[in-house]
Amino acid sequence: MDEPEEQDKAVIEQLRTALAADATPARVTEAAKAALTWRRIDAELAELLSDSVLDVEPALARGGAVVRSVSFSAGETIIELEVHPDGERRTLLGQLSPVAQRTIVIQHTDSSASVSARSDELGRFRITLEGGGTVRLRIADDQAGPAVETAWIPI
Amino acid sequence: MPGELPTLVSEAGSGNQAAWGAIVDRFSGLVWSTARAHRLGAAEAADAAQSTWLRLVENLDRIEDPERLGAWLATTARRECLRIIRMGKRELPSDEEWMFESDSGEAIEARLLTRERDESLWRAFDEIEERCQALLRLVCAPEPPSYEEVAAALGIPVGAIGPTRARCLDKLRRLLDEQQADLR
Repeated sequence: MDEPEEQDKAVIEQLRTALAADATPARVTEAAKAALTWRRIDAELAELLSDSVLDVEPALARGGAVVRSVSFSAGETIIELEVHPDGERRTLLGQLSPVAQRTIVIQHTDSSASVSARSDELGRFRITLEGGGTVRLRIADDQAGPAVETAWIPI
Repeated sequence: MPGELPTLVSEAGSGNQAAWGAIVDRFSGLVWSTARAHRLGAAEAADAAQSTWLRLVENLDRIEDPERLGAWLATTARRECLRIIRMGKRELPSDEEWMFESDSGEAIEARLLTRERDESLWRAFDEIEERCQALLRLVCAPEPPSYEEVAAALGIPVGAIGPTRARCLDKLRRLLDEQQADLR
């Protein structure tokens, strides 16, 4: 009878051989290589502050539905988002603080087309997307100062 | 090679595609194995991997310890997996699917050749606890990660990896032995 260590080696070898069939798919590696094109060039990063989907106990909205809320910050600027799914469609309700009227562009990793909206005099905005995916918001300052881009989030 | 990763990270941060490609080639397997260790199906694992790489792109200029980039990526991949799982996008694939799902013809051929042996392996694998499955999934990945990376991928202390690995392998081996005995 072999020593346990030798037997472990045999089992590891067997698993390794079997798992070789599950190497990273080429398209996943290609997509990762293409991700560098999303590097921020002329914008400040708004970091992910919180994402309720990672909370242990998600907040309950009226009626008991769970609403996902996500927030980002870049210096003084805070961007709060609620994600409301409706089948494939996603409606984003947002709030900029300090209150500001800005152009907000949603960028989507799967498509070059971007959707935009403008925040109102209370800093609120609403954007509807036809499908989910991985997105970020770019908030352009109409006057001086750099644009802000949020971290990417899957929605 | 020491010093190589800091250079690659800094060059990728300035938009050097070759440096970025080298980083991806080096850690693509780790990110993928982390997603699979969380039992994500192929589509969800691809989403988790893409989110992880985008997270690195947005943080290239603020990676504090580039030598430990593997652990950073494993931690990030783990968080992205949890996000996808909790978003409810996760479909629970059957064991065979999550272990074998692959689009290459070669893989399918290899799978047929080893099917019999693999079937008993996966039957035993399926019986060990999920934590063991996740750990062995990483430790036996085509390009095995370091213990630090495995710990980051699973959110457990580095010191727990060695003993857990030994215990899980022991359990798996006993189950395989039992199957052998049943056949006789």
